Amino acid sequence: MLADGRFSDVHDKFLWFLLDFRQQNRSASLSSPTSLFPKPYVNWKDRGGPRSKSRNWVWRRSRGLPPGVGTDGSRSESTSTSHTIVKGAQSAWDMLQEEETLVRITTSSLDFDNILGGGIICKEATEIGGVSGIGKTQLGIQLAVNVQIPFDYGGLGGKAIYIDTEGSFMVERALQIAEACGDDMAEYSRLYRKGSHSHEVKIQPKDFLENIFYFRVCSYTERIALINYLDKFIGDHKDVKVVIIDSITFHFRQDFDDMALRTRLLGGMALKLMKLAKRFGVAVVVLNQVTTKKLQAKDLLKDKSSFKSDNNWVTVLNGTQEGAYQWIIYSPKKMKCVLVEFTMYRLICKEAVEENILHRVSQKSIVQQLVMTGGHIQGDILAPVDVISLLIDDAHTVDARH
Amino acid sequence: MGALKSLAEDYAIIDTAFLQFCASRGIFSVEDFLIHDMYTLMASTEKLSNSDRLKQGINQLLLITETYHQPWMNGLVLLEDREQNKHYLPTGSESFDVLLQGGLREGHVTELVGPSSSGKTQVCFQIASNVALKKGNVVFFDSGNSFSPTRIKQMVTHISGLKENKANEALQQAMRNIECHAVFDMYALLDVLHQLKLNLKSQIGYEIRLIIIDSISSLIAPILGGSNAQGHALMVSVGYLLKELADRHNIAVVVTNHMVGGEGGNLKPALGESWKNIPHVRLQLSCNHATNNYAVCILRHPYMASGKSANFMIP
Amino acid sequence: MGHTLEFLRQISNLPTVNMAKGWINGDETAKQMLARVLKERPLLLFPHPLHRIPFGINNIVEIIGPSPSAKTEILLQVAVTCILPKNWNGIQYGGFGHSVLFLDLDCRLDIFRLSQSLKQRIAETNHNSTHPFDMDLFTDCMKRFSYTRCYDSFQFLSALKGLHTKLEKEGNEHRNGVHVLMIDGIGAFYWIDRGFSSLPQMNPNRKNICLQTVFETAVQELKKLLMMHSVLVLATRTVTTQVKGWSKTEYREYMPLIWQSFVTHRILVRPLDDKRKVHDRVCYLAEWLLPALNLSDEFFVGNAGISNLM
Repeated sequence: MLADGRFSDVHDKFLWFLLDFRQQNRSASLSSPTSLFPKPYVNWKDRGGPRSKSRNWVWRRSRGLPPGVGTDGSRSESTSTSHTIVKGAQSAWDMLQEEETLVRITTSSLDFDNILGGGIICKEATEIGGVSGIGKTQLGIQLAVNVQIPFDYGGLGGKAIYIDTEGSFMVERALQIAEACGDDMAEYSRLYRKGSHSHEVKIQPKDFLENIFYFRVCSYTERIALINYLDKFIGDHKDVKVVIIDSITFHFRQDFDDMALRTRLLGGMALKLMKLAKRFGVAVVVLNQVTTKKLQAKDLLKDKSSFKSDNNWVTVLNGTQEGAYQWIIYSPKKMKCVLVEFTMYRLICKEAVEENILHRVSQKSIVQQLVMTGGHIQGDILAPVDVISLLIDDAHTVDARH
Repeated sequence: MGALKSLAEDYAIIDTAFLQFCASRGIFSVEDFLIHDMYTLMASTEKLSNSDRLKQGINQLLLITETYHQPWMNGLVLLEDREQNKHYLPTGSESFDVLLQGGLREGHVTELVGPSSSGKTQVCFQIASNVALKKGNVVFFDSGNSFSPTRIKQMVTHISGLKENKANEALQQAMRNIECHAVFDMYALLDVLHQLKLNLKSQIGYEIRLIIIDSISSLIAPILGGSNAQGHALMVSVGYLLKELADRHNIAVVVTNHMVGGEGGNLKPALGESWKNIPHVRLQLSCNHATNNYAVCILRHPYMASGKSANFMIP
Repeated sequence: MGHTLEFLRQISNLPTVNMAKGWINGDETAKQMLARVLKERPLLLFPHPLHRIPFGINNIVEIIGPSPSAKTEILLQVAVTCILPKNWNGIQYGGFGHSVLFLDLDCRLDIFRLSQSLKQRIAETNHNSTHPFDMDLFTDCMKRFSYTRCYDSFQFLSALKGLHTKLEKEGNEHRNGVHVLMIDGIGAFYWIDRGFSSLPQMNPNRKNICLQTVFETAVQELKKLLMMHSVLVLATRTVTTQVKGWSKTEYREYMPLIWQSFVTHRILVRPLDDKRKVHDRVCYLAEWLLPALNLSDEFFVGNAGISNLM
């Protein structure tokens, strides 16, 4: 209650300030040598380098060729002739043609992309479920950055909306990922555009951060209002290509006795999000914390929270946040479990921002535990000052403001 | 049905004086007329000077309302209509068809219930693919972005059993036969169904064999609950609209209903008691994820015993 | 002579002038009268699970129960008994030879089930004889079954209003004037009609279209019909039940009072609590609520129809 009531404003403003602050003052000091911060894109190189499938696909995109469509251009006049019985409908054939040209956002993991059929698909909603602390937020930030990879590099060149319900968005982390992404792009252009005019990477890490629209919501009413407002917002910002919601059920886990109402609200919200995805061609990514600790496919499916209507979801069944990610992912579309070596970047390094991140992650899990079990804050677990620090970042950063 | 005024054009007897008389009794529409007793109305004309003409008017209205309900048919005619116009649509899975004595029935509303990832959508895809390949047009209402043309392509190719290059034409035709419409709320669905009803009524050329709504429960569940009856009214309306479409145009209708956790952790269908008597056939699906085996069980059927079940695979 | 007294009571309510005259003049012995009355107003003994009480003309029988509880199946089995003749070509079929009017508000009847049961019943009766299946008999029976479906309350009301003319027409074709009117799912439009009631009425003079007015009109129309024709009404209605205590079943009543008081007999059917199965078929329990008989019957639905469970 404390976590979302009084201090939320402060937190919100502070994050904005932080974002601003980093961009203006700290970017120089933080864009430190890449040796300190291994790149999130490491797996491109780790897995057979740029000739791997994922890279190949990116490369094809950069030539303006959708994956799966041959160079002979076999699909052509088909789309225009069809007329449907119901207005606004589309035949499966036309949809197939369209699906093959749909753009996707890479997750930076070849295996994960393969499960998703080439990445997070635009025009649809994707749910990523998993237990607490498995790295869902990390993936969310990664996607918010990846969506901005310019068209020339096989990306979408879009912008991202990040809706944060838990206060777990870490701007330092976003910056790191942005830097690594920039490095990777630089490398890409070095490898593939030797003859090209420029070896420079045009996008600076801070530009990446500028293109993430961050919303902090503190109650479910706020969230419903925000989702209703998104319609207009995306209408005004046509270049938004991904909406990330972290996490969908957070406010519904607490203070919600009326299960029927909860199900109704979540169901209605899910439909609205999907409508949004269809209408504007954005990818909607919903991160969802699964409450069970029993990591078996069947249990998780039973407990798969309330965002049921969405068919396009994956559930992270097992994994670890330390070091390289190892996720076992269940994808109902493929109807099978897949082990994914998800080498999204993670480094524990003393005296680095990393430590703060880790510290905060542990605090976050304590607060979540409290929220879930409904217990009271006890002094020995978490001192009030810690809760505040959780909300307005840690003391170290607060000091940095002065 | 509608305002009495609109009838004035077609029937001379329904004139201004008659309309005035009706208005004085609070009758403005045919619906109003239906909830009045004809004899009381007749009696109330007695004191008026133009009572004979008014009585004629009432009789005329009565004749009009009699055409409003479906005509009476005797059992033989019904049976003949069933045998000639309402066929079985094979689902594409042999054991499924054996269980249902031939497949889904045109004119029936079939409901698939099952927990998450019990194969509801996959079964829908399979039926749609099979019908599109062998029978005709399919309209697919998708409320969860679950419609996957790639999967349909895969299934059609599998069912046709042809090599990829040979099947191309058949594949294209089958996939053109499936029409997908994304609906994200109840009002949109009602709107489209009404439109479909009008189109089917006016245009004879169109023929639809199958309508699939996946999932109807996710559209209805958000409007249910609370103290007002509107949600339930909409739910029942959509149910009757589907039944009317199915019966009048010989269409098989398939809807899916997901399951939610109920009391004591037991799963129960999201649409409960008041939805139960909408569908003709209710099938429960379950899936064994380890062996990738699906099971279907009859919960309700107009002429088959409930409780029978069958196992099947999805390609 | 409880039966006779009952008939005397019923007859004294009759509006027909002739009958009243006959009664006053006393030109009939009780035996004659009984014979006449049984002919004009026969007592119908229906199959399981309605077999406990004989029904007469003007009875309104309501079969209630949760969904599914074989309510429509009971109607269909009664319908088969009604449309079968008493005897045909010298063979006793034990039916009534009445016409059946089936008003389907649930819109879920599959005529195949009726024809299946009818064929089975004919074949069962014939199975000792060497006759092939009698198609003429089947056709004759099926013609006695009339069906219409209603997609909303107004269609229902318009069908009721038109029944009088239909019965008059039919009266000329069939000699036997008794009709059994079946209404499947009388509460089917409950939610839609309730939704209507919140619509604003512009004119204070105008009757509000809602559940109450719909049933007022329906009951009124039925009453008029009963006065002019020999009709027995059988209706089914879906209710939600919950078992309270160890023997009492409670159900949630939602119909307007005018309908509730119109009903003369009410039976509750529901699946057995112990979910017992016989020959793989679900078993049901039938309890009479009106009149409140202290009897309950267990039955199950097989291919051949409803069988009593001993």
